[in-house]
Amino acid sequence: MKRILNTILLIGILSGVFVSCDSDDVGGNLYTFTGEMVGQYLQNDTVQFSEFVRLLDTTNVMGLLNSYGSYTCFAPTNDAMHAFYKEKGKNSLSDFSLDSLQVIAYDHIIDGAVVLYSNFIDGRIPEITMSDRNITIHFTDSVTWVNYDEAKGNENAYIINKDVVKHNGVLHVISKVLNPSREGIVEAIAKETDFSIFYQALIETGMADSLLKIEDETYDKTEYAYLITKTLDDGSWYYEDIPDARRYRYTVLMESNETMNANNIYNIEDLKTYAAGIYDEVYPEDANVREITDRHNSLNRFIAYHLIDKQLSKFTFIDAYDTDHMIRTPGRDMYEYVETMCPNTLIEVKKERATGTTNIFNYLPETGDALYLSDTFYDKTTTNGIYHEIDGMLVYSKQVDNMLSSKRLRFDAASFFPELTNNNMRGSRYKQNTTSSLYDTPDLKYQIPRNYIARITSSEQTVVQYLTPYYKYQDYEGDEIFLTASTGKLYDFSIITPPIPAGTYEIRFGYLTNGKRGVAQLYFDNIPCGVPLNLNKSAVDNGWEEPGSDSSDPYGYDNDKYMSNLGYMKAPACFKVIKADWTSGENARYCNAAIRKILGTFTFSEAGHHVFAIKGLSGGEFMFDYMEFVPTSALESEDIY
Amino acid sequence: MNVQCHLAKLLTVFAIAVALLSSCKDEYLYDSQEPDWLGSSIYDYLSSNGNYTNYVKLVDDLNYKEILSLTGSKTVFVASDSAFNEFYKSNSWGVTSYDQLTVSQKKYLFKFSMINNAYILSRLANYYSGTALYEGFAMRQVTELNAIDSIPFLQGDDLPQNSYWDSRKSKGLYLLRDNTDFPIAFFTQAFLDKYSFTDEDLSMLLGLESHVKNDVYIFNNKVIQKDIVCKNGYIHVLSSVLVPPTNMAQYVEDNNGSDPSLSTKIFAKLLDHFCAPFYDAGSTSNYNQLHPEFTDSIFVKHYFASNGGSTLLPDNKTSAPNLLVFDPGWNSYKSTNLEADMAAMFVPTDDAMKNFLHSGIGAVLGEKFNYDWDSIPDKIILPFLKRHMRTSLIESVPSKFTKMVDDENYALPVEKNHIVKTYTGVNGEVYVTNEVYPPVDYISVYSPVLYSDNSKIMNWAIDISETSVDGTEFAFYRLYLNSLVSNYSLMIPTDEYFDSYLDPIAYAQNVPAVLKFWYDKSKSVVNATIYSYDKTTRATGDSIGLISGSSYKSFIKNRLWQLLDSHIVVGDIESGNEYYITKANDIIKIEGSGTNMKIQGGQDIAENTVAAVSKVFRQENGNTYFLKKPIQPSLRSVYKILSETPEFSKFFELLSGVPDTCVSQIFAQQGIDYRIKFFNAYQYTVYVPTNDAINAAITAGKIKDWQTIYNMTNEAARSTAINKMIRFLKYHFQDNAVFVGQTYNAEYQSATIKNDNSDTYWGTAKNKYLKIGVVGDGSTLKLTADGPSGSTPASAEVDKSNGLYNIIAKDYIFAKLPTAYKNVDGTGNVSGTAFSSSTITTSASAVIHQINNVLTFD
Repeated sequence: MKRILNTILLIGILSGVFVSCDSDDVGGNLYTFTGEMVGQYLQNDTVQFSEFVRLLDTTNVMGLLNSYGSYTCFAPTNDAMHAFYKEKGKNSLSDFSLDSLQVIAYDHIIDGAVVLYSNFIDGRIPEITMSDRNITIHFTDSVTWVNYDEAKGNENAYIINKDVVKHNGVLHVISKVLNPSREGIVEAIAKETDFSIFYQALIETGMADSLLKIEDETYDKTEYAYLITKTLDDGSWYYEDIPDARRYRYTVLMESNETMNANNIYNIEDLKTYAAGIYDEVYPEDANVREITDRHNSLNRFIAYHLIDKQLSKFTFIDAYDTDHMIRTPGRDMYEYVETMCPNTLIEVKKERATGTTNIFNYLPETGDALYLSDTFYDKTTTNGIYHEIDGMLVYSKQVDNMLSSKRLRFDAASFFPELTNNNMRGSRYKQNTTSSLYDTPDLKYQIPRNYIARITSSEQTVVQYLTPYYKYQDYEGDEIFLTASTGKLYDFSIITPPIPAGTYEIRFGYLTNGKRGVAQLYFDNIPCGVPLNLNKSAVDNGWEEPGSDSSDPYGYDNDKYMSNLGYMKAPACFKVIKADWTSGENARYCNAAIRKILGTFTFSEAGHHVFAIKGLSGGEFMFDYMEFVPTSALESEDIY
Repeated sequence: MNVQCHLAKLLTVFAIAVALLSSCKDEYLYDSQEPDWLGSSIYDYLSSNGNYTNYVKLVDDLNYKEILSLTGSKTVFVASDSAFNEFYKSNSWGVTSYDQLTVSQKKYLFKFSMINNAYILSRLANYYSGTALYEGFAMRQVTELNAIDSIPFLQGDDLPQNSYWDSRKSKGLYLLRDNTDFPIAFFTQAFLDKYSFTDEDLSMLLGLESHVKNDVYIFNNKVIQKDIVCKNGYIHVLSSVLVPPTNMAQYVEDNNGSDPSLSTKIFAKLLDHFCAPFYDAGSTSNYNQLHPEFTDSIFVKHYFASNGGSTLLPDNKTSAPNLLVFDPGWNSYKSTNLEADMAAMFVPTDDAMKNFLHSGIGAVLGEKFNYDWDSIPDKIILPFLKRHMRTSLIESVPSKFTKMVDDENYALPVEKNHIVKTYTGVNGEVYVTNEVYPPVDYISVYSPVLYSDNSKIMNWAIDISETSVDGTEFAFYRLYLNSLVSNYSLMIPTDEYFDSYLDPIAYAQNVPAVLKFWYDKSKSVVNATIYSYDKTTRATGDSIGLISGSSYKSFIKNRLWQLLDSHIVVGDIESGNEYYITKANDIIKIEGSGTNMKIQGGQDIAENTVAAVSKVFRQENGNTYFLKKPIQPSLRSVYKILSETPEFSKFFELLSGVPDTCVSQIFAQQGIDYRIKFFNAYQYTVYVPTNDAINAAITAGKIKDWQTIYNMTNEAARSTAINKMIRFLKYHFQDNAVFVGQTYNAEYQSATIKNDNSDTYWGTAKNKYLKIGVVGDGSTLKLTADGPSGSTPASAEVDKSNGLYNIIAKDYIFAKLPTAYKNVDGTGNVSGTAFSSSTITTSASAVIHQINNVLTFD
């Protein structure tokens, strides 16, 4: 009989399924705590929340709110729930289908982030609800509105009680059920009667067809779970996650009929004439293209210039990237460059330090002209995008083209890729923590699956990460694209840049050394940028001296020239590390690890995209913080910021 | 009771057992009784079945009856008698009946068919790493076959051809090909799915006509009946007799039989360069216990390798100089876990190997080594072999060929139609190919430099390396020149002609000198002997110094890297143009093509010297040209040429007349004398109006002369005039070098920034450089200036009457002014640093043309 036992024993060992014989261990896996969960809080307050609890129970969401995690719950009161039933012509919860109830429940819960009242911004909260929607906040003197819709006035939901902090999250009590629009962006714009001229042109040019995608259904998060090697529970200074979806999102900037009228545009024919007046000057070779669905037609370009394949709210046009890394003193204005659907064009978004003004669109220094979002009509959220009113005629005019092609264009690496914005990775920190400084430990590193970002082509063995802003990173806007390969392998990837206007540019690539970087051959448009770059060399190895350390060169300008002759530059003085640790310095210019490599001088005969390719030649990391395109005419007068 | 039912019950019992064992307290149900459904033993089943008499005889003869009857848990892969009958009809041993099998052969057949654990077929792909269970990830399991079951005695030509074997050639030795375990390789559907193997992959690997889903193969031997449950394990029936394959190294060596055109002997011999006999005390002792009459020593053949094999020479002390990626003869090859993967090798046929050396890119190597692979030094062969050896079969199946890169991140361009034969060995897959996959060093423009005897100086410069963060050595220029996505023209002055490099820093000092670079073979370094030089007679004098030794390496490196940059053009220099720009931004002039080509740098043109091409190599990423002289870049700055050419005097006066108090200067003291202050590391054109044109412009009031400006009493007006003059002058400096003799029709940037919003002829916007329109028709250049829109712009044309066009200048930047260094002979600035510490930092180039009119834009 022992033989049989032996046989089975062996099978057991082979299968590796034997559990420990120490039964005492079982108890060690259990835990107890005394704090109240969000779900329990709701269950215990039947006077206020019995209907919402029913909703959560019916849809099986309650279990979630009673489990460990980080949740933000906007909880409607019983009165709110009953009013909602009535509004929908129903008597009770049971009159709704289970599917619709689930969506309603999901509209009220953000899973994975604790968003306190102090984190609210006037506009859209970056974190999305379980129904994949954004919640918008609108502050007035006496009331904080949620998902405010002007047409509804006082019938909108507002915060009754804020910041009920529980063990697994926070709860805000609201006066109405949130019932965001389920319309796509085109459908929603169709109903905006004050924008009918714009809408008509959007439809007739066929550009509305470019705003229809919602999500890449072929992306399955579970296939990439293996990429996560460090979880939040590991208690490290960082943890990893993968994108939860691959959403497509859009932004539309629209002029109202009133704005159009002020420019003598009363119908689509007027708009055609107006558009031709602008775009035929910029693209004279296309002046005869009459078919408005042709992407070279002036009206088509006019409309396309209003469309962006990123979801940009009032907050995420630029403010979201103004992390504590950025130095906010006058002179250090911030710029964001946004690609539009008008081929090879950008919109500049400026944040001016001296006045604190933000979201300044296409500012022309010569005339002082600029455009702004409407004070009242912005952050209109739809299923697949957001739309805003712009307060003047938004055009890629000759003047805008000149402005963009005669100044330094600095792009944060993450701004290259719409996927990071549309899937809530760039411009969001709530997921990591809710401390007063949003950039404290732990940092969140997104493992980006291969082919997830359309404009990154990488070899199978290349690991691509997006590192969100972190207080110990001496990074522009705090974040970086990070690339590496597993031990014994080498990375190999290429990145398509945003469109750059025609001209002759000095092109630079900004990075941070850290003692772990590798050696890579860099190529710009397939031209090797000199001999391989050893990213592991500190700035000192490339000629850097701390400004002020040489009394004959108090500001370091002579040293700047010396470094430039070697093909390098100090980092700009517009950002810093929040917490000096791995690196230090009052700003990045003073940091001996932050550096810009001059890739060379390149002439582009026409506006367009370019390819920055990197081939790893040794083990070690590669990081990509920002890229600069500086017209050679701007070199002489370039500032240190 | 059917098999499935047995199995279900077994698993039930197993589950119960696990549960009970987990508690460690309750008594086991079957401690005292055997379940009646468990069936017979493996031995009983096979012997009672009647179809496995051959296999049972093996068991009996090898005394395994008790083991397979009583104890243990085993998995056996058996073949029926009919399969054995087929085996006797045709096999590599020449055996026609059971009786002819030797004991060794019997052991091979039997022990290789048995795994020392019980696996149903679907679980065969599971393995336990020691820390975790991996389900579906396994493709190999170790069998019971022991290395010492057969030990051949070898001598003479049967032994590899290298010095480690020489002493054994005459007396011979007992040699194990390997002394590690023999695994079987198999492919379950779970594994195939996990790694996305296609049916074509499996068919190619195993030589099958097609693969049917869920079929399981042990090597190329199909399982035709699976999971026969016995009380001490499982039986799986194979379609044919399982004969142990060899390992990859052995296969490559033996592969010269059936089809000589697919022989791989050459590759096998190259592998043998990297192996040696190692005394194996363990095997000697074990064998001696089994065979007391055996008193000799047993050796094992190990390849020198980073993984497996040996990193030491047979003395077990000295590090082997050249290591393969892995030991290709290592039966138990593993990267991490033996079960998880195996290796692969792409092995070119002898014909492919020979062809490579006789034509195309490989001819450089062939010519040098007399078309004999065996004559090529190990150091050169090693990267070749490494590129053909793959550490992971999973990453090297046909469907993944297009994604394969080597350990230096270069693509491995294997195509499916290159595969002429495959073999699945115990440690990996051998793909016999009709192509070779030379390492990049063999095919890039660097290759001729690396393998020629007379390019050691430049090779030394190209091969200067640093250590990267992961400890790998990387040589900047080697990697740069090995970039296969680029197209280079690499010009290499060969060693014998490297005797007269005019050093630009010395040239700027009181004791000009030429440097003769030479390669010190004994120390494998490049030194420089300094000779005096007479600028007037251009004669080289006596030797006045030597720069050598490791402490001077940075000096030699600085100069040779500058030289190298002056000898690399990104792109083709035989495209028909006369002038090209080098990586150093130097302008070079080309005449002719191929070996008739003559190349001149700026100084060559000035001195009427020529770097002739002695040899051309057409490589994968461009062409390599061996030269009979280094290209000498211009030693004349723009300042020098303008100041010393009488026909340029008026323009030069204007340029040098900018008041010292003015921030915007044209010249800055730097380099050999002065440089244009606003030049970067780029190439430019300078248009110099004739003296008459300048005078006419002054007379016409287009510009004021400096004296008039200096005499202006109104401060603001004078400042405006100074500024206007500077803007006028800078408008004659253009980005991009353009040449008389080439065709153009484009606008280029000047160095004057437009500072208003007016419309201009060339549509220049404010804050951008004003443009110059250039039309080149092959004989002259016609220029059209920017200017107010609507009015006729100024124009000019190159004035060729004095031959003052296509004059090449170079503005250097040195780390310090030349006067801050001592002269080459130690004289000069007493407080200066040694000449050998001097450094060239960067440079710009310019081509200068005289034009017949001033260029104005307002």
